[in-house]
Amino acid sequence: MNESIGLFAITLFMLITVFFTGYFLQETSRKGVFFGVRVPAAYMGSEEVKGILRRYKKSFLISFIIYAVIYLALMCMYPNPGVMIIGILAFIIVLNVNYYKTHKEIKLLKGRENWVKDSKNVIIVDTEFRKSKDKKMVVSKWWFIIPVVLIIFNVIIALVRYPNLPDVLPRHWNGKGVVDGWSNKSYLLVLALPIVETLLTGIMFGMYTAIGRAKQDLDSENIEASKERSRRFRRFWSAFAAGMACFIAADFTMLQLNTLAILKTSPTFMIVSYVFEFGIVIVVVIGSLLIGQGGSRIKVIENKNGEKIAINRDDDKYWKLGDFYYNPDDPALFVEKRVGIGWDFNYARPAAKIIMGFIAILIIGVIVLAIAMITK
Amino acid sequence: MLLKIDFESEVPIYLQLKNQIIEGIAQKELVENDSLPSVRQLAEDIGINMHTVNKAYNMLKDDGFIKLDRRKGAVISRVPCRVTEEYKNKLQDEMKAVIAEAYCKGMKEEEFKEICSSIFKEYERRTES
Repeated sequence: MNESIGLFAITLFMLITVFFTGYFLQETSRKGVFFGVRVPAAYMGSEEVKGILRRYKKSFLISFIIYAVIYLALMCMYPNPGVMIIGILAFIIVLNVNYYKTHKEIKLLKGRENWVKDSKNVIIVDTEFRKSKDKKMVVSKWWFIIPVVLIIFNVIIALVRYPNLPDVLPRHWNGKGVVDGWSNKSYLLVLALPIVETLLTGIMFGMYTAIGRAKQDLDSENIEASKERSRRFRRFWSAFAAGMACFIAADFTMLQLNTLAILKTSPTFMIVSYVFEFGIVIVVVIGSLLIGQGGSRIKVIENKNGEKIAINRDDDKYWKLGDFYYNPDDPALFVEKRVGIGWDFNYARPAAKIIMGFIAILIIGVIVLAIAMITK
Repeated sequence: MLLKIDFESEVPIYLQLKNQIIEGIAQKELVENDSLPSVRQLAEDIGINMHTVNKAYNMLKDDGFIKLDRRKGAVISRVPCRVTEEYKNKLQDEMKAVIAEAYCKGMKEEEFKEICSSIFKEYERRTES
């Protein structure tokens, strides 16, 4: 019973989160891009564009309510993690159908009204973008020393303690911090946590690197302001990546000390851990909504006399479905997303294709697992 | 400095890059020991092949505007660099084409010289200030 209440709370929380990200999709996107289509500043405020946005919100709201009712009803009837996972995937479909409908509408409007007639394919790049000494683009990479030291510590302590360990070790703790899974002692078992920890730290460091390297994508109408926005945006998320790596390492160290029976988990520790995990989700949601993609929601003092090059850029051809960047001439692996918040791949790069292949296998695996959970 | 790359221009991208960097040096937006982004980073920011950036950097190096340092990457050299015989010949060739066009359009020598000197003065003003 306790488990299903927990599951229900997670579901509800997730529903609220995804509702906001979908409903405010345009508000948090980059300036000058409307549902994956570049729209010149002059047309952005027009009645037609506003009408399209209104229709999107209405359609999203209605489909979301229908979806949420069905989903919550299913969750009440079958409180099962499998149902939850399928539900998340179903939501991704709901979101994408709504997005794509709107994307096509604006694309048609752009073609019909011929907004590209005075646009140019011109890009502005600042050679000093990553060099400003007093205003760093990302937090120091030395933050990652903390997880690295903790991983080494976890490996050493496992090897030192190994000969004195009992033959059976705790492997899993339930929500109250009580051991409910045991395993026979083996080197793999005592090193499992540091291995996963290394992997997660690697992912966080990859995210950190991508944030620093991603394309500048300056707004030619207001170069200085867009530079400052981009800087704060990158600084926030790079700090988030470094902080996550430190937090995960600290959490795993606690678990490792428990596995090796150096510490005994108290229920208080589990609560602290939950509060942290909840806090992370809150930071992601609030950060996304307040900062926006590329810092588009940050207010910075705009220098009206600053350098200004008015161009209507038209690079829609590189964005498949408005959302997937595909440019074989571009060596960049990471780009800022055009719709929504975060970073994405240049899908023309072989590395991106390989990674996406792995992710596809992973998703199929999750679906199979979810179906297995439901039918069990 | 800000680089403005036009993908639809008749001027090839490596030349746009090279010309704008030289202009940046003339306008004192780039000064001695300033470093330029790495070949890979600049190619990623603009979204072009790395060979294109490499070509521009190599031409700038051959002309003595930048030094390619193993550790620091591309670094702006000291200007003025030397006027070589080779450069004079190249300049004459290029000017011939430009002046021929101006002559055919009926531009007077005085008018042409005025444009030249106003551009020169602009760069000299920047150097003094």
